[in-house]
Amino acid sequence: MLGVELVYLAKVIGPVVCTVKHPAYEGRTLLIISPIDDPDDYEIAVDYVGAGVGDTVIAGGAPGVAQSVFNLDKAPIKTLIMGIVD
Amino acid sequence: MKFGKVIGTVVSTQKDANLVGVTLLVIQPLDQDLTPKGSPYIAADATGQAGPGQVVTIVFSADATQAFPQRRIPVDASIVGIVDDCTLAQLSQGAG
Amino acid sequence: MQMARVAGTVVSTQKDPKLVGLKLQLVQPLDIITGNDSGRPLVAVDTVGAGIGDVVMIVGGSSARQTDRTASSPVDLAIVSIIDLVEVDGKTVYDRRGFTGEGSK
Repeated sequence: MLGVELVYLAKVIGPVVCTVKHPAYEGRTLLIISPIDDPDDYEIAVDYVGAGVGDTVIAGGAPGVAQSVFNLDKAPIKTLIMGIVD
Repeated sequence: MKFGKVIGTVVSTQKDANLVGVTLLVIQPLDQDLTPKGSPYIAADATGQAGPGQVVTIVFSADATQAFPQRRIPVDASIVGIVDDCTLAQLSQGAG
Repeated sequence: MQMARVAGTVVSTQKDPKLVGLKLQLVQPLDIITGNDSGRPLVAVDTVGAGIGDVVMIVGGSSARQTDRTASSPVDLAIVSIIDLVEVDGKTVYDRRGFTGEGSK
């Protein structure tokens, strides 16, 4: 039932700003992250911890996680940034 | 979420009842620096405002069904954001 | 979602009870821009009454179970719409009424 990757390390490579967005994204920060294991790939993630460009972060998600974290009935959100690696 | 560019539209009258009123758009998938990568596919527009030429953010599979208020909706790719011009300028300069 | 052409019908009598009453079609995925075959044919549950030759939209994975007919059935691909018209870069690349390709615009 769960996705292939649950939690992984990634590097923050840039911010994304959307002019128009789904209500579930209102007030949230979006960052582009690139998995440490696969630098050619990327994912646009919702920041939950105040990460910045250049940070190495813990990222991931699974069905239902964004719904519970943000207390929403419906959340079309795949990946959350949930930690900054020291 | 991934980036995609809206390159076209799909018109369909005979469809699943929960898809009535949902705009279907043709998407060219993009890399993190907005370079086209991969084959085009169809996505459902959950913003109601996306159109050809725009760069959008897209969620997939089970997350895509979460983008619409319908209890059930058979979509596996949904547009959830339209990327702003400043971000586009930064990314296409090779921030990735 | 992907564009595909209905290429045939699949008939099966001995199957999971939750598949009884569902129509199975063989679909050939298409390249949206060229209209050419793209990849191998697949079996999909038809929820809209498509016929052979129709160009349809297919949805995959758990999303294929998000129709009233396929909810809780063991399916991972569903036909959810019959496509009438596709425009890419301002040009009509598919028109159900018969005009397709470069010469249409």
